[in-house]
Amino acid sequence: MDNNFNLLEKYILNQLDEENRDIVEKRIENDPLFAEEYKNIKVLLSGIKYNQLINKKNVLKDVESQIQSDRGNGNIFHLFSFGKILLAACLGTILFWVGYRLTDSGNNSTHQSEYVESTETKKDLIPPSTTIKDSTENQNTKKDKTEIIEKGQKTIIGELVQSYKKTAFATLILRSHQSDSMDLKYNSAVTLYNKKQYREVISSFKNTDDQRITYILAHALLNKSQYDAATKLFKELSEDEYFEYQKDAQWYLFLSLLANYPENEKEAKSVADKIRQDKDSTHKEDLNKIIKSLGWQ
Amino acid sequence: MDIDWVWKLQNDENKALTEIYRLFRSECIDWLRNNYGVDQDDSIEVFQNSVIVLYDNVVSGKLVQLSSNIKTYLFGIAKNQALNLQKYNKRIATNEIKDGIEYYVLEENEHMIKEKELQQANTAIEILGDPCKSLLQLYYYKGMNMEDISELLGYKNADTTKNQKYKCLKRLQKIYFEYKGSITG
Repeated sequence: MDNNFNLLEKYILNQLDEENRDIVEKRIENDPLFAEEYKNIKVLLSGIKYNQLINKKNVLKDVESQIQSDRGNGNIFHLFSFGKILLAACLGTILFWVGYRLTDSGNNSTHQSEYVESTETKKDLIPPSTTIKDSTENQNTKKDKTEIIEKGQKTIIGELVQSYKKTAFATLILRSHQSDSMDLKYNSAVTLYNKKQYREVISSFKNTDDQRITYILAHALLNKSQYDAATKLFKELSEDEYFEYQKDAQWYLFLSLLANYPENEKEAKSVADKIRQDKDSTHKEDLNKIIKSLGWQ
Repeated sequence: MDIDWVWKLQNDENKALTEIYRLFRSECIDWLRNNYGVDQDDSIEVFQNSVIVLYDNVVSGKLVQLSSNIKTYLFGIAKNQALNLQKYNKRIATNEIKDGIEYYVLEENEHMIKEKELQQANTAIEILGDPCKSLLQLYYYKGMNMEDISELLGYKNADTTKNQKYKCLKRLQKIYFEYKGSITG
């Protein structure tokens, strides 16, 4: 067995002379067990290569996200610079806002420290764009606010979902469970998800009937922008009160519905109401920020 | 003076990949869209795959020295990738997610390996984790010798590393078959 392995390894790595290569090739042709062993080693070595290449591709994907994010910030800036009048109005409101903050800073010190703490402890949970939206909100207190929000609504929704993709919410939950579980399939799904190999999660587990794996699958679909499929799974999971991540599934159902905004507005609002009414929901703060930026109040 | 990209990719791969990506991204994406009718999302995908193929050519030793400049070489790969994508799109159902890297590795093996098997092997490697994963990648993918791997990973000597490599591969095989069994069984 080990002799076979050494021989096949050398054959695959091109370390055999011509004579020995011929011997190996004839054995592969005539000995089914040897041929199977050859194929298995080939699969593993190809897997090693594939793994390295997709990990490098993830490096490029991160660079791409960075580029998109820089451009997104640029787009936000453009919202403030379409026309001299609007720009002047914005500068005015910024000055007003700065003045307001300076005079109000004493009163708000408690609130500020709470906010810092919450972003510190939950920085992976809160989409970074919500802070941008807050400042947008503050800077545009006049009538141009509605216009800007309308023009930028698609950008805001896009950013919201985009920023979700950068968060590690699911990863945080999943990581804590990985070491406890002896389930190889579940561990595999978690490992692939944590390595951002969403495509592999989807193709390996698309027919799963395990709820926990379905939850990971739904996140993978959301990350691959397959919003309808993600919505379907999150909906199914959020309707099961015995599912351990039911409330989280409901929150991500809301986000996946928003991804196709305004298409699913009615349903998104209904899910938002459920989250709002749930006294134990940990997503209320984020929800309120989103609702505010969408002007649903 | 021209940057020696081959050397950079061999010595500081993530930095080199990032620089190449940022340097040629916009131009290559526009070129793909204008000349091969590839949409924005697909052209990003094609460009990313092209940079990976360039990387693979350097690591595997297929590309030791650039005879043209890197842009010509990279755009040449991108052209082939775009044509492959068109062929691939015609063959598969539209709701399938396409991944050029998977196709690239499968094609290299003349489709002797199935897509599923490649993915199962990939999952097994992720489960295997470090240091075994790095050791196997350095030896089998990067083609490094035992002495260099020993130095890089801090093993006592080449024999220890060789022994460790063998154990790691056996562990990988075990995980692969168990995982395969759990999926099919």
